[in-house]
Amino acid sequence: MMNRRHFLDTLGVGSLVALAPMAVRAATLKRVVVVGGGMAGATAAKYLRLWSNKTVDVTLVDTSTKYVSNIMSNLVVTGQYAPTILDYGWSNLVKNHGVKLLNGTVTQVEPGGSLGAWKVTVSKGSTIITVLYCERVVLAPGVKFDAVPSTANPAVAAPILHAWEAGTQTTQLRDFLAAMPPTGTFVLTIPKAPYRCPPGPYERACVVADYLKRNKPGAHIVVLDANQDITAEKENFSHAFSVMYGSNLSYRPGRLVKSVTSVAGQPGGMVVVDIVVKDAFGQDVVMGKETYEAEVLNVIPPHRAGAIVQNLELADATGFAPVDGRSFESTVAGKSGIHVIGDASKTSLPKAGHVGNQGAKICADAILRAFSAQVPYASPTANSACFSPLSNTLASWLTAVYQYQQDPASGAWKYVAIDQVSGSTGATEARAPSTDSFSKMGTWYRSLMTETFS
Amino acid sequence: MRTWLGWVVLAGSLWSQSAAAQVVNDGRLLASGCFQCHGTSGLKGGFGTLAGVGKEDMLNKLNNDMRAKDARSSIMNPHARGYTSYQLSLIADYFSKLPKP
Repeated sequence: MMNRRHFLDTLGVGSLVALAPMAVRAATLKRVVVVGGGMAGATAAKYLRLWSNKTVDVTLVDTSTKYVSNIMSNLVVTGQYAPTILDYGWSNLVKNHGVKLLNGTVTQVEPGGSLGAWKVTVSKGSTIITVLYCERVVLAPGVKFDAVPSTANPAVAAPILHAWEAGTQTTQLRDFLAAMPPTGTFVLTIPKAPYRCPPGPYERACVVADYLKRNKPGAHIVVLDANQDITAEKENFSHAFSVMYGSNLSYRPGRLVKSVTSVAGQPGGMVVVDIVVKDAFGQDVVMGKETYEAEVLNVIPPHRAGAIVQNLELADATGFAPVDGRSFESTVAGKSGIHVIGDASKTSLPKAGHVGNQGAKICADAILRAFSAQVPYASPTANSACFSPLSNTLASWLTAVYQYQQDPASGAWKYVAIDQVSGSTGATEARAPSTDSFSKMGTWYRSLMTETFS
Repeated sequence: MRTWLGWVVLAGSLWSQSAAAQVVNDGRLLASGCFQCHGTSGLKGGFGTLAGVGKEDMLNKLNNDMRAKDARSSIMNPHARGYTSYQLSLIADYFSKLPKP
């Protein structure tokens, strides 16, 4: 006898559309549109299928034809690894899990009336290519970078080479670094937290300093950090800055980028920063200005949630989308059924690929529970685990398990990293960098990418 | 026609089914934090298979080789130390019920 699954497979979804009246389909078939196929979006699409035994219809929409990994991209900048190690696609999610893949840009999400909770409009250029109706929308657009004023005319945005979204900028920065004069200066600027991948900029500073030490011993790197101190893996990075790279790296905290002089496609430029210190009340006080000249200028601007989150007014004043940590569902009025995951969401979790993968699973689990009229799991956990290269042979690691729990003082629910044995809070970093950790970093990367994209 | 007792039995069975599904899902969601390094459903990861590992074996390892050790000496130690004993038991229970590859 033909069972229902087989019947659906035989007919295909297209035929079902013709057979079933709209209202019946809306009531029976659960549909989710996932917008953005990065670490979080790809994971959400996969687990909505895997954990529903393929009963939920999932469409993954991405503007690109491939995903380029930010993780490991610093070792592409230094030329140690080929850019192809960063390339991933969604074909295994289609093949293994039956995720439907759609290439286009989501331009509108609005109430879908009798055809579904939400109507998602997908365009290419100025042409609408399709309209999807669904019960839930998962937005995983990643981040967009703020404009940095040009020094000559602050009303104009300066061209910025950030290489903080891997792709053509990654290889451009690699080529600029390779072509840098032997006594040149590489200037890297770090935005105020929260930004994507807390240890990432310090990792880049280290591997660039290591590259210079080995290839251009007369050159050096200046790190201008808008934060008052190293924001992640402080012990290992402090040690690297002062001991491993004491001769060719200068770390200057409290440097907030105000403007940039740069030309698109040119490596060099100038950056003007405010020197900022904290007063006794924790307020920023500007102590003066500095100008740094660079043969290679690498500015990582502040960022906020990607465009679709801004357009749908899902972000708050921080630029990121407030969500319920149990489901990653937007807490903005009138937006229930829209979830925001990954770097675009505003939680106390770090913005990074490994934890973005876990947030996506929490979100997928909550959506599937909602489809069977259950509430989200009340106290989910997420974890962050990452390896950071400090040179071409040494790496460190940083890790934390986050418990979603209520703060006894404020009553607010949030993710908190707690060591259940000692009671101490915060992430844990490796005792020291090692070649063993460098080797494990490769295993970690391949495992994480396989788990996310296949 | 369904009797009064029939309704009670039906309600009871629905309740126990949903309670069972809930427990399985809780373990799965907690355990899914292991998948990034140990593979989807504890299979094919680069750091060892967890699917089908006996519950007591896994808890022994987590508690004695990792949870009791210095947090900074190995990346697994802070993971074992980051979950409550109850959460670790749900995680170990979940993996123990998956078929061995």
